[in-house]
Amino acid sequence: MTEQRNITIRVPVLARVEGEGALELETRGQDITTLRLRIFEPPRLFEKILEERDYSEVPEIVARICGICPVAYQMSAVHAFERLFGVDPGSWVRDMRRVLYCGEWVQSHALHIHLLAAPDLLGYDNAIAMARDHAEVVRRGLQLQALGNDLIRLFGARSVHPVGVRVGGFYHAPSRSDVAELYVRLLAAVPDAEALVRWAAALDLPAGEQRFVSVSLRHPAEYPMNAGRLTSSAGLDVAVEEFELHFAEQQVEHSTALYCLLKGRPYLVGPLARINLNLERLPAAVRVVLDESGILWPSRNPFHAIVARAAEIYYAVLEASRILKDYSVPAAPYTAVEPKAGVAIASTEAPRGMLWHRYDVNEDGRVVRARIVPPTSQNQARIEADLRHSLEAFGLDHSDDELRRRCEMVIRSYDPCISCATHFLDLRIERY
Amino acid sequence: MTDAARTNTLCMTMGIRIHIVGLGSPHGDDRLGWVAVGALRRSAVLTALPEQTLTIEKCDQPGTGLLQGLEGSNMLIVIDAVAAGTTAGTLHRLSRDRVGSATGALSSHGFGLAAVLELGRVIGCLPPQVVVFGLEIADTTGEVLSPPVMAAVPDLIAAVEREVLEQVSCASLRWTSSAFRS
Repeated sequence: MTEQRNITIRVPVLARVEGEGALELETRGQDITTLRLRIFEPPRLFEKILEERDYSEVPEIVARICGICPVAYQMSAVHAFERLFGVDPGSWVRDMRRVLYCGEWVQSHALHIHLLAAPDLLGYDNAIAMARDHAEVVRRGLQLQALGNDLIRLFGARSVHPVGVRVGGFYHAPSRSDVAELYVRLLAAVPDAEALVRWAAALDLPAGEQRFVSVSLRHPAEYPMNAGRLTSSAGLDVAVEEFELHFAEQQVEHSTALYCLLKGRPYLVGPLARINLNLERLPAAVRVVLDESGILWPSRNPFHAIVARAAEIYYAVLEASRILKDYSVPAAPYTAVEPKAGVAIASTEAPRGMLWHRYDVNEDGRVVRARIVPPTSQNQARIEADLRHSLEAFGLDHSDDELRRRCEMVIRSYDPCISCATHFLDLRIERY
Repeated sequence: MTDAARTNTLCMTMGIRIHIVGLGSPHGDDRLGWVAVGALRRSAVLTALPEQTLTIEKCDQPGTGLLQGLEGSNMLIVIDAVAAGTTAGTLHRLSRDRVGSATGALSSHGFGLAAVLELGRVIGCLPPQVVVFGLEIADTTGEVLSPPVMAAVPDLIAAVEREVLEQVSCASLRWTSSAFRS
């Protein structure tokens, strides 16, 4: 009989995730007795900051919630107000918002794949160590990331906390020459983006299927970004206004972030969930590469998220170039807006998954109450469920270091965007 | 031909490109990189150089964006606030290998200047010359630079101007001697 081992692993600050989080794991023999992902999130504070603010200030305030995905926060906010105010900003604005979102997907996904996730999968401590052996891959990744940043800069004047977005459209329309320059770079990036998907699919990813529900927006004709209904792999298909009827956030003792559950159960949002639910909305070029990846889509292996992320980069590069091909400068880059009182709700697809906003607005157009449900709070329960499953599949008969590494790898594969604090790994392991 | 005109001709002929980035944030003395960029853009010495010789940019975080736009550059000059335990306003000039080492598992937010420069070196996208300039800072709570840091900005600007001109004249010497040999 093997000796019973009790393990306590605490990772007080997780590295290579966006912000601050911690992990606590305790086992007794072969049983996991405690498994907690503790996260600390800024959006709660932002919801109070937004109160009494004019609707027109909201896009710039919410952009500060995240340095990696500011566009997503701006997109959910402007769509919410426009739905309430009854404004249709027209096809130019709609198209350019899609290009802007493509930029954010490309930069965020490229950052995650190359600097945060791939070192795990290739067995390196960090991206620099990995780059010593895979310089070409990292260079390609950083070039894609730069392209994404420049797409954001085209509309937002800067890539971090961009300022170009307003309710009704944009403050400024890019010139034809600036767009033409980026269009050439987008076309040049197409082969790189395709190669990236094949590279990701060829990684030696841990096997193992899990049962989980995927949730994402679905649009009648498009791969989802700014519009669509809330759908799930379990048959949910509702308007975004009905979110609160089906999804509930709850407080848990070990985390300052709220847990969001669908009918009381964990669920997945993000690239893998989007691909799983919207395969037929992808253009043939992307579907072909996914078909040739050797992975059966929809996939139930959470580690396939990195392939899904790469496929979305490929999609976003194709989509942005499709839209910018025949670019023209509009007469006005926005539609004037008249505020009205009511409840403004919208959901868009942030790089990490569905991002739901609700603003209660008074007759002056000021925010009375705000509610923001970010993707990471939605994925939190799913990450814990995955950790439990993955550790059981991996086996607890590994060293503390191996178990810790596997846990971190699982967490990082979700690309959690936890907060905007800067911290380094400070690991403490206790054995009984 | 005036000296300035001669320098202009040489820069264009040799294709010298120098990339200057000022790193900063809105917090007190951490604005230094941005303030320096403003001053360098007004510098009479630097504006005399041909337009394509010099790019001067502000950056709000030392992320991988720092590695953008370096293709074909001969030199990268980074200007950043320094906390080295010296007197506030002390001028520091560091070559790339003295910026510090990047260790541990890096987060994207924790991707500091040392890590970015190391990553750039490893993937071969840094120019041959990399120099970091900085001033020792005192206070990161205000909305402007503190008096000792503000007082040292002219010295910092002069040092960067000298660095640029030296790079231009070294390159012109190399170019002249190789042209002479051939």
